[in-house]
Amino acid sequence: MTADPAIKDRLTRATDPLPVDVESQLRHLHDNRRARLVRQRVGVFAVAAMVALLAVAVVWRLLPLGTANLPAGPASPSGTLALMTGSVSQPGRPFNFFDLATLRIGNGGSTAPLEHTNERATFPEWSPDGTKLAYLTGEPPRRVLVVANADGSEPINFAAVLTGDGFAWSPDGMRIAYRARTGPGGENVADTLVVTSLTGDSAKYASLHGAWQAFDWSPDGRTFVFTGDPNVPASQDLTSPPSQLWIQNLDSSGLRRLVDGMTVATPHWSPDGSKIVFACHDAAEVGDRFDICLINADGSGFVRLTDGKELNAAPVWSPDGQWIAFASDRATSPSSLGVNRNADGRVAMSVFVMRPDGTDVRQVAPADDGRVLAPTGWRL
Amino acid sequence: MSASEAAADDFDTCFRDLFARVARTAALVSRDAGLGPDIAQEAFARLYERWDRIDSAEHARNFAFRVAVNLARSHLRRRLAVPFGLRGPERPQADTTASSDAWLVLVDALGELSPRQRACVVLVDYADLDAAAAAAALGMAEATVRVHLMRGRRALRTKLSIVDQEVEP
Repeated sequence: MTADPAIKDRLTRATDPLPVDVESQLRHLHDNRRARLVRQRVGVFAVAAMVALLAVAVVWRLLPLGTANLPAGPASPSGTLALMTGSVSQPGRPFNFFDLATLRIGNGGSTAPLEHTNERATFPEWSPDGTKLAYLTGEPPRRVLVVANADGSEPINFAAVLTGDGFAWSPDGMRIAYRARTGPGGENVADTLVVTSLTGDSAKYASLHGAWQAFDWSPDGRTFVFTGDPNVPASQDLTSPPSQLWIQNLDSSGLRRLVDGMTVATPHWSPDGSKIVFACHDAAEVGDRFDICLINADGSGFVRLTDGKELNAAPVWSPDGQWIAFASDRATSPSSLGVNRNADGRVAMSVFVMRPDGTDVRQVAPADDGRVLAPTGWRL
Repeated sequence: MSASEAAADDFDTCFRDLFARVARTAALVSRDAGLGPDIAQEAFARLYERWDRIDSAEHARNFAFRVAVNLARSHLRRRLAVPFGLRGPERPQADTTASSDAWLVLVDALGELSPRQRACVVLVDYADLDAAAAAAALGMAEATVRVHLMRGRRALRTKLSIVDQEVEP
């Protein structure tokens, strides 16, 4: 294709006079080469920075990164505690618990008796779904496991249990594990753990040798934690408080000692199954008193959450695992007799809560009437 | 002489050969005499950035005209002047060409053409690109360039009262 000569001529004649200083333009291009390169790199950096910021914003918004997006624990505990209420006849003697009560946290600290429960009832504990209440009544060796509605109504004698203070709800709330003297057929089952459904139509047995007391069922339903000593015959009651903490699988395998050489009581699995809280004290150390202790379910990370200056006992987890409730005499003045006493000389144990790391301790029930309050269950 | 110095010399030679024509092509397409050198400066700056990938004089010519025509068609005066700061050297204060009769008549006549027709006519009849190179520069099919060229020439001839024998595209 060739150019149209007439048009080319007109275009050329019109544009030839245009002032185009080629050498000046060439110098300008070379002189501005570095500045242009800098501008381009700044532009690329600015675009990259904007893209990176946008990506970070998107990721920050969509993904759970860092502590900012971790589910923060509630600022304050909530729910209702199940309590044993009682007194102590004199310092250094065991507490005498004789009634059950509830405490609505944040409701001024006043307790309300659990209706329909019998006297001398102990260890009230709601099922995991909060719809049922189980507790023990009667004096050893005739102790009865009672199951009732959550408010204590319609109680039924569920089973006769062996001396000891323990039973445990299954994670689904449909079964209860306990230690019985005899099985459904009258056979001796003192060395076994009885697991019975609420309907009573089934029973399973897990071998759990030795003398043991309190225990709890892991949230995954596979393991028990218990206090006691497998080397002491089951026919013999423990003559002193247990000094060992054990775990064992429901199928009788995996027996393993977690704590030895300390007096231990009332173990409870955390709701996520990662930790076990219990009361402990070193009997060999003069002046050492019960503390709230925590250990990982694999036996590592033992720690005392309280400092041994006061009597601290009966720990129980909140359903969300963000708090631990416990009984303590720290609200009354110190005494050299081993248990703190209030102004009129009577022992007072009140209820406190704290974070699982031992911080943020708060008193949730008063200790002004000399009563002993010990939490054993918590529901929302 | 190092390879980089030789390449710089080759670029300078290309620049001196083509810059004026590229600038005036841009002025014709944009119908703005003052905009032509600025557009050409930007086109050659981009050509310089990729000079190591230019494999022939024809390649360099086609690239420079393509960038210049596209910039002119986009009327990027503000974008050239402000964001990139790439205005060329100061122009003479008295730009008599922009107001010459021939230029004003031509700008008026080019205004009768569509932007595509104007670009095709300028690239082929002024910049001496063939239809294929013009098509590549404008991102069109070669046949489309021929159609625009025929219609543009016809309109321009009428406007400029050119009575010479028309050349078939």
